[in-house]
Amino acid sequence: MSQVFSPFKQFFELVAGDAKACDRRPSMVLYMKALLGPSRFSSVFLFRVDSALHDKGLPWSLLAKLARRWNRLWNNFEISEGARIGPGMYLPHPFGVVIGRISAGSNLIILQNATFGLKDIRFDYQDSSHYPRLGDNVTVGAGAAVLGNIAIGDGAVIGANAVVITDVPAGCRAVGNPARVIPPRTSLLCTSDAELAFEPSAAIDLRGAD
Amino acid sequence: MFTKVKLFFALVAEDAKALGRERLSMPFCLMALLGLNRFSAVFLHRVEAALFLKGFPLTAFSRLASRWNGLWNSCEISPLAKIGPGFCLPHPTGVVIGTILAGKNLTVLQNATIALKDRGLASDDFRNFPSFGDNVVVGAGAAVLGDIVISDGAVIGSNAVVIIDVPAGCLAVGNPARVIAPRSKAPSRKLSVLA
Repeated sequence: MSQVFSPFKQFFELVAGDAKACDRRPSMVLYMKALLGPSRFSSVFLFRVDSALHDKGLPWSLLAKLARRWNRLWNNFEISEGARIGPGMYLPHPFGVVIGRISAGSNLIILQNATFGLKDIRFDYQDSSHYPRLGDNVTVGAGAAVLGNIAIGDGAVIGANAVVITDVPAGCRAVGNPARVIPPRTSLLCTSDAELAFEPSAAIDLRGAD
Repeated sequence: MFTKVKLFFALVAEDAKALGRERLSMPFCLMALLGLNRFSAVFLHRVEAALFLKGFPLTAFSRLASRWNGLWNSCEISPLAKIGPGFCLPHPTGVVIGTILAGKNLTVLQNATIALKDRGLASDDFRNFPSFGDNVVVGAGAAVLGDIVISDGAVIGSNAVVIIDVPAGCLAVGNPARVIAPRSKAPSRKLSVLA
């Protein structure tokens, strides 16, 4: 019996994580609202329904298809059912977002008009090896395009309208078109902020050492 | 009259083929008309363009198709645009296309804009808009603006802002866009310089 219910349990755990990332209390009422459309949480919820049901045989796959169309109608959000994305996915403004068969960790934040896709339109849509792979806690800015078989490390931030076609290491930022990678600020100033504030000479020494 | 209808469906069949649909069926067209499948953006544009300036009842249908396209697919395409067969919009969200001239197999991805360089120019004149050759791909979020020519087989990268001509087979990327020669031609040129 528990084997029958374990997929349900997994699904609701996943969705509860998404609801928390969206500042909503996970409840059946929220899920119903999300299924019908009028909720900010609906884009992520409809995607979860789609990806859970699309390979489950006929009545369910039809429901998955409906969820996909519904998502496109209400949220203007298109996502491949083959995308594997961890819990805590959050889309504040899902308008115009298009996502291919990517794989991503937890707490992914995507802003409006962002694209995750192929670098070359001639590649095979069904093969996930041509799509980006994302770590945990990644934030993607408005209008950014993340293209091709690249890896985005944990905690990376992609700036607005950036076009990312190279790997981004963990904790770094990628901005511009084509994107250049900016290392995190903390690695430039190895010592703590307090020390720098009280001893200006320490900062100069550091820069000299570099 | 029937030849015109036949021509229309021949054109639409070519568009459907570009999206990977081999044969056109009646339910498929009806679904597209209602905005229920991936083909609907292109189909509604073709209906709009075919019925535009055809007198009262048909013009009303044309306007309806255009509004319907904005509602379901959030894409706006000028009914005066002359776009050849094989027109493909894989993800029609946010696409805005003006009165352009384009050849066969034009592919436009999401959030791309093909429009005037200056708001003051006439929006019903082909001369103020870009012209496209065959087999052009416009990437996600790109803007192609003004009286320029994009030649056969050119590719516009994501988020590029193109205001200069792009020669055949070249790649235009960046903001403002710079043109990159095709990779297959680059070695031959280097060889000729060496020799």
